[in-house]
Amino acid sequence: MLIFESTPSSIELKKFYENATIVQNQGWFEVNLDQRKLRTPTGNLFQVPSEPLALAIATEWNSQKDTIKRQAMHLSTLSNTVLDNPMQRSRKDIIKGILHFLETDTILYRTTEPPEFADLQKREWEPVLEWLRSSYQVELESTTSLMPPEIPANTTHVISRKLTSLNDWALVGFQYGVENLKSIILMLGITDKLLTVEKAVQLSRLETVFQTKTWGNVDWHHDADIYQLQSRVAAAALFVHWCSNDMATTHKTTYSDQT
Amino acid sequence: MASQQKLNLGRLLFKRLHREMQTTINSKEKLVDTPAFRYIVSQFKEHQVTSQKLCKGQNEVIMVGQTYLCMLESLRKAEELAQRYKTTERTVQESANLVGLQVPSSSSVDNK
Repeated sequence: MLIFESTPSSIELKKFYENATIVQNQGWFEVNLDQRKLRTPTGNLFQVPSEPLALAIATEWNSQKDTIKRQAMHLSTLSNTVLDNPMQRSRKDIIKGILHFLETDTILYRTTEPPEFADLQKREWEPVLEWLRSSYQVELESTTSLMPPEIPANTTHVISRKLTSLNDWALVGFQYGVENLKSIILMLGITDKLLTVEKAVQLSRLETVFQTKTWGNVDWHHDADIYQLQSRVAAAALFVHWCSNDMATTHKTTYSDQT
Repeated sequence: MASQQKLNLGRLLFKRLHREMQTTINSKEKLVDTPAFRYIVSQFKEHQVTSQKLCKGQNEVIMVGQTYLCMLESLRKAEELAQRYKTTERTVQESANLVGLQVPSSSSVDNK
């Protein structure tokens, strides 16, 4: 077992290989660092169901310079999460976790003050909400109160069905996107090709966008925030796209439970 | 959308992807020889504008390409910012000294 799997992420690991390549093996794609097969943190064989994903992961490894910056390797990290399932989550757990975000979906919460911000929210968020309604044939209203909005049962059902249609890999990617955007609706906007990652991130940060226009932008904080979010959400979107059933060469289930 | 517009969009995207990958990958071999870049080239070639058909394929290649470019660019810019504003965290001693104070030589908190 190579040393790096058990190295705590606080210790910087030196780049110990020259070249990362991919290898196809029984429908899966593995990554080789020079001659050695890449493994997950718990020692499992690293393998992904999609060729472009494998190539992008090899590129992550080839992009490292002197030290391995694992916090920048989102695709590798997401893959490790699927393969190792460190939190022992079932598909049901993941779907439930995602649906939980619907109640607190960013674009459902509207303010009335200040009026300029209320207007901005309406201009930017309402079209996306309208798109969700018509695209999925569901009812969903925003709220201005502190209480969570009423989510009609059918709406939850339809979205739950959509999530269930994702295979294990795409599901993990989707969840990562929702977590970072704090919104299912915005993530659906990305995966359904309504929004670019940049636009979704901007919509997710609308309040901050509004505040920085008034009070000024601090690049080492605000811009860093944007770039971090964008890199993560983009990784999530790519993960979902490349691992979807019609893209991946195989859709073996990784998680054993049936739903 | 005029197919010429799409062609130009595709070309621009391809150029930016090329530039971004050139900067980010550290490899002895030329970028055009790497499997990752060859894949991108094949995707663009496969969905070239030849006629009115394959619109969906083109759109998809462009969207995925833009998303991947977004990821690469954002990672690079985040790293540049981190490098520019890199500082080491001050110790408690240094922080105290900033305002003319001294850390006490022995802590009174641990007295049990």
